[in-house]
Amino acid sequence: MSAKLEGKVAVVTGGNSGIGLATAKRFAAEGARVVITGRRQAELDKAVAEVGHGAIGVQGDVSRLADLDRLYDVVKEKYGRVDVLFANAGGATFAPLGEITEEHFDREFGINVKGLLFTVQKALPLFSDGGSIILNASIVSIKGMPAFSVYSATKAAVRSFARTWTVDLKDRKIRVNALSPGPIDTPGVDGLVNSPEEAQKFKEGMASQVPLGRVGSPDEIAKVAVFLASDDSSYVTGVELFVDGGMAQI
Amino acid sequence: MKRGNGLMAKLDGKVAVVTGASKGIGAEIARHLAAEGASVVVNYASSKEGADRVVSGITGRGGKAIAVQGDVSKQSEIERLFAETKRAFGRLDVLVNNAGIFEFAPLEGITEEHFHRQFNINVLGLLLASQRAVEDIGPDGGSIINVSSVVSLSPPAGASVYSATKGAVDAITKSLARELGTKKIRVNSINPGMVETEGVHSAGILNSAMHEQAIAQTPLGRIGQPADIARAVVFLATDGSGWVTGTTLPVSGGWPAV
Repeated sequence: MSAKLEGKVAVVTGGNSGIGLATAKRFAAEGARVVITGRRQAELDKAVAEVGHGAIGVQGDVSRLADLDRLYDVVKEKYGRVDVLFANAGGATFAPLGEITEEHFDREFGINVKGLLFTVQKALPLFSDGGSIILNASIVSIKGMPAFSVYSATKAAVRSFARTWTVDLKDRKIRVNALSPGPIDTPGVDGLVNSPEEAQKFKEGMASQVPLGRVGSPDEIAKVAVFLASDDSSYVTGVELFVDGGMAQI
Repeated sequence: MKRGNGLMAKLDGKVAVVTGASKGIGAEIARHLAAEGASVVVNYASSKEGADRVVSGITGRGGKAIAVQGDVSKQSEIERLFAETKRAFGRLDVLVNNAGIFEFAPLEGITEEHFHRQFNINVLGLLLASQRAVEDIGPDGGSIINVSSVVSLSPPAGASVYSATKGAVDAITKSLARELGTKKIRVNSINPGMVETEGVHSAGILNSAMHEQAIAQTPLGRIGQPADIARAVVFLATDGSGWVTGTTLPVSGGWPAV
């Protein structure tokens, strides 16, 4: 047996921290040539060094189509194709109904839905037939949590994309799956609240609802992304795979 | 067992019981778990010859396996299955509840026997095996994998009892995930679509209208092979799925998940 992604070209958006960074590291360790994106150049440079294995960083914001064009120009020039895409870049902020602003709505849908859609569409000319597209969704696609309506709606849209794109891309045998994490200990979660103490309290509250009794780690998502990226999941497509310690399953 | 690239096999030192493993999907699951380094107990109800063939295939490649007879719907035979597992390999980490049968019948054709035969093996057998396995799984936890079916998500006409057994399996998966989480035991269902097995061959399904229809409805344009299912079971048995529990994973080429 060889490494699971030997020789594959893999793109990970939002690869400079959290789940994206952990996944880029796993992909590289399994033999993939990895390209990551991130909005902040300094963090991106640091992440590229951390991933190693010849990884490349392309600075950009997935909600800006020109940035995506630049990303795929680099991929095309360097590798000429994409075999695996982890559309991971996304953002979340709380806003209860009554306090939702147009700006909040546009920002969340701009990154999580529009950005993700064009991340995939603009990859298609380079995409290898038989490749794997993984959409990072969330358990909120099927759960209601207070003050999370806009974020949850974006993730329900992402789960829906996995269904329709499975059919749209069937002739090219490209598999499309949604990966839905539960609460994971990431900088993104810390950014949801105002202080480290609040973050700790938030995570403890979440952990109490998880059958495995804790929040997850980014690497636990990364390992499932490897499964969905590799031939181990060759007959898995159109699904939403929950990686949540059981939280939304019961 | 070392893999060719020097990576450790993922189930080295682990012990797995696969029920109904003398042929078809179960046999392939046993072979895949063994290839990842697990010691495997190949359970069978009636086909000793098939189980012995699976075992010799595994041991011939340097793996560890034994065959143990036992009807999963009988408590005394379950007891013997796990006692022999412990005697041979000394521990238990993974249970694959694969033993199951399918019989189709329209509503007017359902009999008590049709009902009990399927519920006894597909549901009661799975519960009895899980109950006994939990006694032997150590403090580091383990993984229980229930082989369900896409019929629990999209029940076909003329298969109400079979679909009901698989709906029950998915409900049990979720309930046990909650119950066993604190023991670090993960419980998941895998939900295959139509798979090319001996059972599908002997039922005359291959190249029939039903087969053609399944292909037409499947985005990946083919029916499943036992290895497609076995690779996904390996994923659920290993640390790669350490944060996955209580889930139902369709392995069905996109049908009917889309």
